[in-house]
Amino acid sequence: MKRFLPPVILFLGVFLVTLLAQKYTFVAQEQNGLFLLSRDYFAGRFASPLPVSGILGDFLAQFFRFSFYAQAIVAAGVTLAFLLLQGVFRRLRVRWAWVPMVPAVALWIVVAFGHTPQRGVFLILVCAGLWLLSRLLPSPEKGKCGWVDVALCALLVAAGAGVIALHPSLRRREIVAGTQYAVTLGNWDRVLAVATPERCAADETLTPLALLALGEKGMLGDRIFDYPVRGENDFDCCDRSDEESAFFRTFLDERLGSYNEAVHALYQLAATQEHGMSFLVLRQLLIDYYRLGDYALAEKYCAVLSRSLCHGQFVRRFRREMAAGKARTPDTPAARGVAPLASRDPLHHLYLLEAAGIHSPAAVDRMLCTLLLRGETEAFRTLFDSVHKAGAPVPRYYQNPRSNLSATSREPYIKN
Amino acid sequence: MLLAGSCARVKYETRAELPEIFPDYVGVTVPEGMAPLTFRMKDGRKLSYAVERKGDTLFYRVRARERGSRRGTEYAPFPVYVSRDAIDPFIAYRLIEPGYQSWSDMGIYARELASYREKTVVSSKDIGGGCVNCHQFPGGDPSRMMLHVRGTGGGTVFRDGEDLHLLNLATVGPQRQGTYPAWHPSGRWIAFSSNSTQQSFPLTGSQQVEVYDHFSDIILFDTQTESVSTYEPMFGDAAMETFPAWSPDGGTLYYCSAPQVEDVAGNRADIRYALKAVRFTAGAFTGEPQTLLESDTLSVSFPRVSGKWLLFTGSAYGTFPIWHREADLYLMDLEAGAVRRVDELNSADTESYHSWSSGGRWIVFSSRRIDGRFTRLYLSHFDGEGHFSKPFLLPQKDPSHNTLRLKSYNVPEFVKGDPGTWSKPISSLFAR
Repeated sequence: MKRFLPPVILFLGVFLVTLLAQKYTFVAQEQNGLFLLSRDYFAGRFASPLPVSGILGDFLAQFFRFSFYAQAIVAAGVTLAFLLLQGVFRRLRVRWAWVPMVPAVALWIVVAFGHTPQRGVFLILVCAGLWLLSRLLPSPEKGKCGWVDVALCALLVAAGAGVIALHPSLRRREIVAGTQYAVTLGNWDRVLAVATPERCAADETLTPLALLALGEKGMLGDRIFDYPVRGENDFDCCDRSDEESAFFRTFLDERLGSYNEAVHALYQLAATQEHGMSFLVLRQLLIDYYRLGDYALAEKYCAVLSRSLCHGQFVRRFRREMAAGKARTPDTPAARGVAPLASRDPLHHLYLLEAAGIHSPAAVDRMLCTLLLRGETEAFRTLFDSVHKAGAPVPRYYQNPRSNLSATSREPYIKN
Repeated sequence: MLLAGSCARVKYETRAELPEIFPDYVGVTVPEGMAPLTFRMKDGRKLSYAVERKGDTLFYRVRARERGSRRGTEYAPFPVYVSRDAIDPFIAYRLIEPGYQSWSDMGIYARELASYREKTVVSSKDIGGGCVNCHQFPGGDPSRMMLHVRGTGGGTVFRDGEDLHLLNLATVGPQRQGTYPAWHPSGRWIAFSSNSTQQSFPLTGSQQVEVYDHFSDIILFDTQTESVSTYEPMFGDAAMETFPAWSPDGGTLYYCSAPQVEDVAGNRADIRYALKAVRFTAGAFTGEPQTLLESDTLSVSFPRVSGKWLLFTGSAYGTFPIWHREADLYLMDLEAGAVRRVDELNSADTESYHSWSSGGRWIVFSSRRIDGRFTRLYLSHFDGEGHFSKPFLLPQKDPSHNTLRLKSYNVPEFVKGDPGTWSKPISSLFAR
């Protein structure tokens, strides 16, 4: 029975560590991944290096959306690699179970560091190839597995777990992925619980997401300067054009009710993805086009998502809602010709939204905070006086705008 | 008779009506030798069909049934007319994500009409991710081509047989970049518009992107001397000139022109481009440009000439009709001066870029009629008398491909042969 213990220990170790230390990292792999039963998807994959492992990796990653699937798939894959390697080493007359455990744990670490499952799948395929080749060698005697072997295997699994759980870059990825996932769900309490001021100080990409959550909770005026806000760019990401800023802008614009700009940001986000598209972008496009009343495009994304294996319920829900809803009538050329154009200046953009009748409490708070960060105290006071209801408490950082401005130029940035 | 499917135990009820299929190929005219039309039932039912040819007409008899059902419907056969008028065997186009500022992958592709094969001519991956656009083959000659490569180290790439040559037009003559090209029928000159283009994004309403020029002019590039010249009536601050197109004899350049305005973004709804023409003899423009069409309600773009017929895109305003839902194709008889909206080609959604086959009997044009966003290619037969046949969607091996493809077709141009792939030579050109 002892010979079954190393694979069991490995499976449980990988499952638990992946669940506790990399839960959202793998959810992000699904969000940024794509697997479609379509000609263009396969043509794109076959034009890329390692197409078979790429396709298999994408196929597996689509299930990472569901609880425990990623953990089970990763643990099963690593354990499978161990068993294949164990078979190879036995044919090579190496009977110790801890020997194949070394490359299996190494593979686990490779999978943990990967941004897609592709490399891991490739290595498992290599293990399978070696196992097939090893069948050409004479059959060995039955292997023995002592307690020392089991202990060494457990030690190796623990070492792998330590690397994955404690490595700073993996920790950072997990925190960012966890925050982004909470943003996609609109779980603002969770965003604030993960993206604490201390973590934002260590990783500036979290700050805009934390401020977005504060805005949604109506707490910007009370807590903005608890976070490491140096200026507008920390607030709006307006000077950046990377994946994280496109993600942020997507959800900021959506929360502000500016769906045209949310779609714009989604296409920018798609351009940063491996396939030029991802499940997250496809789902959000479907949601945003549905909200915009553009049912023809929403139906297109329904058709596209229905070519994956995991979106049946999601697609059916939207098709039902569209069948019961009413598509919007396109604007006349005359109306289009005078539509306000988005501004690159975040403050002007917010004013335009208000002027266009797209109101949201978060937009007013963001305007006030932007004025604070720009040092435009007179404009701040004018706007604040116009929106503040008599008798309502004045948020902490709106009480004395000038002192806040000096605080933003002080080190360290976190005020207690 | 070709049997495309059979269901032996299913009982079919015969109906007199025509089937509702996607793409709609009922009553279209196709060129002889084109890849077979593939389609599906609009309502998702499973279909099988048989095709029978009688003279120059194909009759498609369609049967449809629910999956698993033993009852189905047999529809009245619908005709597809086969024309013996020659069509160029390839269409070259750009595939790109349909919008906004960034892209992940784009390229120029060539589709063989006799099959479903699509070949990569140039991919942005070949040039380190840069933008490739505005490809053109002089007279449809597959051995010669030009395209622009944007980004660091970019410029205009000219291909002549196996020879590739990169030139930054902004370094010669008036130091202006080329944008929309028109290759002279002789092959020696290329008229370019030089546009300062900007995208803006409407905050509200159904239009999500607007594109306009802050200024634009026409420049003339001589491929023999690699020099650029200008012609005063088409160059300067008074007007914005764009979309050059040569007459088949090379004696006239057609283009679009609008008065220069301050604050183009704010006044975009008031900018309408007129259609103009200027004579070209002995390698130089001569005389004053003539205004052929000017309207308070129509802005002209993409004039394309075949014989006495000039096809153009008309929109309510502006210079980038692909984002204008009202954009339609119009046909002008250059001899009579008559203009008509080509309703047999147009839809409720955008019709935009178009190109004539070298024989002048077929056109390919882009339309967003399927979903309002993803541009697809449609072909139509021209009778030479000013009338087009019902347009049909470029057939694909799997009709769902038209829905599932997440890229738009851009700038379709007929080509007289296989342009081959440039991947290796252009990679080495940009690796230098």
